[in-house]
Amino acid sequence: MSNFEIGFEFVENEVAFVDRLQVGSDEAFETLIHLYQAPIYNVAYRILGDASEASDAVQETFMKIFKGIKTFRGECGLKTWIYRIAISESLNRQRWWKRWRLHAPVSIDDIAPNGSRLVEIRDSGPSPESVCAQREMERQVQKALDGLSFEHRVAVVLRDIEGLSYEEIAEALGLSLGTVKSRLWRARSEMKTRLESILKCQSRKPQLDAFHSRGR
Amino acid sequence: MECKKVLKLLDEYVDDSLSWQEAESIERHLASCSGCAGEFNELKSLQQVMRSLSRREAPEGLDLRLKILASKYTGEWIPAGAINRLRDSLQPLAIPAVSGVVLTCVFFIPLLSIFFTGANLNASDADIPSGLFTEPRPQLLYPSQIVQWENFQKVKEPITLEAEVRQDGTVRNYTVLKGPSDPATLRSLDQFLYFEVRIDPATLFGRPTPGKVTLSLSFYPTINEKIDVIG
Repeated sequence: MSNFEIGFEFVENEVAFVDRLQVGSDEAFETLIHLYQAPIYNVAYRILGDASEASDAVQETFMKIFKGIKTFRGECGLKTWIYRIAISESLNRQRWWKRWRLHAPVSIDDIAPNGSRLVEIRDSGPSPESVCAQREMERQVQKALDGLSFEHRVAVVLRDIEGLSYEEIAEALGLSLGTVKSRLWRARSEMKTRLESILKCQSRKPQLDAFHSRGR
Repeated sequence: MECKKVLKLLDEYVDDSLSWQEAESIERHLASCSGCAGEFNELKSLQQVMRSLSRREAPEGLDLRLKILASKYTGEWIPAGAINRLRDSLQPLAIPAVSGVVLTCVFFIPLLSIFFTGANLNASDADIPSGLFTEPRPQLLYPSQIVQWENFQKVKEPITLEAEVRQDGTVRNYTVLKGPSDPATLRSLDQFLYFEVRIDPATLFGRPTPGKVTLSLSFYPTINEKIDVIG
């Protein structure tokens, strides 16, 4: 099952659901946790790249949700509001780490003073066949994600892993649609370069189809 | 449509957010332009790769922690189900437990050993007059402690453990000295010690300080026919 299909079970009436949350109903809170725990953990994990950091981020996120739900006025959807909190929590964690670690993620386009690229993509990894193995692929993807800047990483995670629409992403991040599209475009460009070897293996099939359709 | 425009719209096409007219003209272009078709394939492959990432499993215990966190905001710290069971169990008639097992924990108070680890102390124990030092003391948050054991574990033997207590009264970590220490019991102890217990911290010169406390826990399961009430 793809991530999009796992998705969300829809709460029938969001307004009624929010009402129950605002009066402190046990059941509503439990439903909230049941619906959002896994997606929020997933987002935090993909953004932070570390299980225990993600775990902490999830707890902080829910604490803020529980505190803030009383004053939630429904100006945006509940889902996007929740994602917004989750992302800002992840950002806080990452900023904290940046302060104490000595390096920041390096962009693939960074050029050193002498003109050479700071990041060399060298295909020194495993053979093409084993690259196709799921686990290795996931590792590589997470590594590629970790190398993106925060904004780009969030855009790709929300769109391609969590399946949020452009509008939902714009709402969750407080950005214009145009900015969302350009961030996504840029992030995907970077991911394509970093994952070149995996994508070659993956795209063999579609290329064969195109090959045949050209009548050769 | 020319290549430059197609490449610009390719992401939105892949994300299904174009009008059907724009989508159609892109498709027509892709059918006859191998360069753009290649770009499209790459983008599509990236999308497939991202979508195929398995959902990470949240670590065990996170679910429980969130529920306990939630209970603080719903105004009750004890799950509603357990409160009803408490009410039932306090009546003089024997009433079958609704479901699961309700256990009452009784604290046997302190301590066989005290050890303080205040950072500002260089002197050994002997130099500190005992009158200025008080031990950590566990306190029940409510008159009787009700713990709902989600895995219905029937713990029959008492457990003796040693807990390190921070200066704010929360448990930093603990070791089981005597009694069961299987993973399920430890999980339940985690929940109990880290989230449901407050201990008056040790004090030194009137200020809270980290300390250690030894606790004994006895468990009294309520069974269908008989109600044991420790109040």
